Amino acid sequence: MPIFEMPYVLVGDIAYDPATHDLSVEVAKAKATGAEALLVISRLNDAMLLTRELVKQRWTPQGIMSLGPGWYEDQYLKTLGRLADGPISFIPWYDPHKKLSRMLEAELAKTHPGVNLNTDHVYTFEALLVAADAYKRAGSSDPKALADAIRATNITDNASVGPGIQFDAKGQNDKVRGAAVQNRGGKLVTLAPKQAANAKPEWPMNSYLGRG
Amino acid sequence: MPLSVYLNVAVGGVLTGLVYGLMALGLSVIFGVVRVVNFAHGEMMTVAMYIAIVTFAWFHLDPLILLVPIAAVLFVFGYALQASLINPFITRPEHSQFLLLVALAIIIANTLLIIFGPDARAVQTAYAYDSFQVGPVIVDAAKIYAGAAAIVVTVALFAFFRLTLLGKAIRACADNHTGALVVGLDVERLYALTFGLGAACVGAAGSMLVLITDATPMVGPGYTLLAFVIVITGGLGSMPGALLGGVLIGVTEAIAGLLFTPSAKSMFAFAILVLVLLFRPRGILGKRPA
Amino acid sequence: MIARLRAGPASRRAIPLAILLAAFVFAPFFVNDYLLTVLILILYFAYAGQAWNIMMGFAGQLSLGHALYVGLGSYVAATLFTHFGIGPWLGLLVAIPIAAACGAVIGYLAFRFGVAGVYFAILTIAFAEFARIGFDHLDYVNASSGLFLPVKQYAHNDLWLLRGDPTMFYYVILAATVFAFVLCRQLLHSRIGYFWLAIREDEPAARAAGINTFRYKMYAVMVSAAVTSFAGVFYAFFYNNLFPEQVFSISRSIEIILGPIIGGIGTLFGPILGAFVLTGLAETLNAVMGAFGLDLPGAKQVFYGVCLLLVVLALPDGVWPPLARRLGLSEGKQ
Repeated sequence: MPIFEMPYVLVGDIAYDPATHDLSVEVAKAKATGAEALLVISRLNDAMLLTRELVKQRWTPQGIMSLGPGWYEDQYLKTLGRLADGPISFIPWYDPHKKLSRMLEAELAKTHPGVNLNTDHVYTFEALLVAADAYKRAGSSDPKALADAIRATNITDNASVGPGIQFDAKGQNDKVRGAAVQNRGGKLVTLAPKQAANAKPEWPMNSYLGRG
Repeated sequence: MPLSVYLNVAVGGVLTGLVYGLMALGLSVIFGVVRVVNFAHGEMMTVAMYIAIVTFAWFHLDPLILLVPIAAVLFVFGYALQASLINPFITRPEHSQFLLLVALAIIIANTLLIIFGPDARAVQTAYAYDSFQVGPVIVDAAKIYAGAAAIVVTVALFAFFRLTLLGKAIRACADNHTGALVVGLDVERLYALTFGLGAACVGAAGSMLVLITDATPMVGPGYTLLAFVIVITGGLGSMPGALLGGVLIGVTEAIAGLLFTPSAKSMFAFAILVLVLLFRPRGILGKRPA
Repeated sequence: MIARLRAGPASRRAIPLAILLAAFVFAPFFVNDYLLTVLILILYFAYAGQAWNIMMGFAGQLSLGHALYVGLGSYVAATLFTHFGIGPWLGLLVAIPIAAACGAVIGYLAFRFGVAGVYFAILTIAFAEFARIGFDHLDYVNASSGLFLPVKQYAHNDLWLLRGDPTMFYYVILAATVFAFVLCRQLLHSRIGYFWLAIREDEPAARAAGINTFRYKMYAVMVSAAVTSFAGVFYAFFYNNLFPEQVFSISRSIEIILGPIIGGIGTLFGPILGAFVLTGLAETLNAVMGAFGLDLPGAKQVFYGVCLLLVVLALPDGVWPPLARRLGLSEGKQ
């Protein structure tokens, strides 16, 4: 692993079986390290198990920072209710200030009430956007013309965080930016980057005790 | 690491182990009498877990109360299964029984998948997030209730086998099949009854397990394997052995997870199994083979 | 001449066998890519089933953990290839002794300490699970992230390095299946085979007759493990990726076992027929569900389970023995 000059100390790392049904030992071990914050990489099921154990073992770290799925998903929010608030996920996300994002949010609220807009929806939408835009510019469905048009993509009016959609020589959209998203009151708010932020981080997170 | 961490983890391991023990008890009872290895054991428990989840969602009945009707439902299921499908297989070779039960397991797990989808389901009881603090030890409330219920069910079953005439008749079948036939016992019916009782244990264990963990349609094989490990460790056919095996495996996995990397903790359960098989093949509390 | 005429089923079997073999040899010229892949899968299961059958069908030792030997074979060959550039055939020469040694360790522990029947079966599962978790933590083979074989476009098939198109893999696994069939036939009709059958039928009686049952059970485990390890080597080079979670899983073991049980345990044709029936069934279900636009996760497996159930209820000895009797091709009393 590369070593970065960071003013933080990793007090321990704990690997567990992703198919596990019980994470009590893992949480007890993490709590015993006296860590101030918890950095997690998990999926939905283990995210819920971890949260439940944190509550039961009465440990609220200053913050829970997730580098993967699970902690921001609808089922996590729905199942855990008020206990879902607090974790921050570092993920590709949409910019809530952009016009298209607001349209997508409004449309989703109308057709699927209770479903939060997320990256899966936004990326699927943007893939269609790229295809439609390329078709419009190519003016035909000739494969070569379409492929050339896709390479020349330059969309600035999009939904995800960052200046827009462009592809580099390898076909990557290197303009896309990561975001920090926090669960607050059963909703997802964006904390970073600055131009996409619509809330200030809640840090340290509210104690699990008395949230019930 | 402070001692209290070990204590916390060990207590949790004991309580979870009791519930696992109850599940394994079902396997032990069935094998001890009917001599059929129930390879669909975990799947039967998954059925119980889903019944608990659905009835909880509809009627908001506590799984600890549901335990009794769910055990009854699983009893009927087990009885019917033995009476219809498994009895003709009693005299067939092991691989034939294995295939039958694997087929059943595939059918059960995938039927659950069709009905409930792949996502994890859980029950949200009022005490789902409660825990008790005794000195430095914090104990999960749901685990205490589940562990206590496991002990109660085991004692009840133990009493049934020791004190009732029917229980004695079943034990007679287990001890001497031919002898039981000679004295005029209806062995097939007693086998069905036994399979039903084993299934009832699984039903009770399943309805308690939903307090501790989530259910997905595909958790079955993992629990089947766990039940094997526990039963062989504790001693096939021994009722206290199943609980003891459950606790031993529960605590071992918990402490191993604490001392080493948790992702490798089941290795220690298998290591115990191998050691027991080699040095005490009948299990810790197993009876001497007849 | 007279002896030949009297040979009965053996010679009567030779002609259909030759036709079957010819059909397999020429099949790639007539089938599309999809069917070719299905045929490769069938032959793979026929081969692995044949290998498992040596232990269970011949010597009566139920192994439910054969994924262990598949996994060892695939990991040994793939590691040698990715780390040292050593090809699969040399890798096989390393994989075979390792798999046989593991089989010997398990067999020694079990047979010395009198672990038999269901207990033995559970012991084999335990070792396979042990290996699964162990490899999940072995950084040398990339632990749970999986081991990948480099995939490139090859101008021509390289048989020595097993890099090429599906047709090449088809002929490799066909040759292996023929080899396993011939090997099993020779074993069955040799001294060792008769000893195995004696142990399978009645072990105390075999011991009383002077057979060193411990030694011959050990041979069965080791031969079965060694033959199975090639299935692993093939798996690694055909699929190009290995995850401990997949190659060592219980479901892998069960897949291997279902074929011979369905086909007919202890017979030479059972594993082949069983692989055909099961893979054919699974693919047919796929096609039928697709045709009806049914995309219900789990529905296919439920039908599959029901079919297994019906076979085991209707044909306790598997598909092949009654079929062989009907066709007059019985393999004789085994």
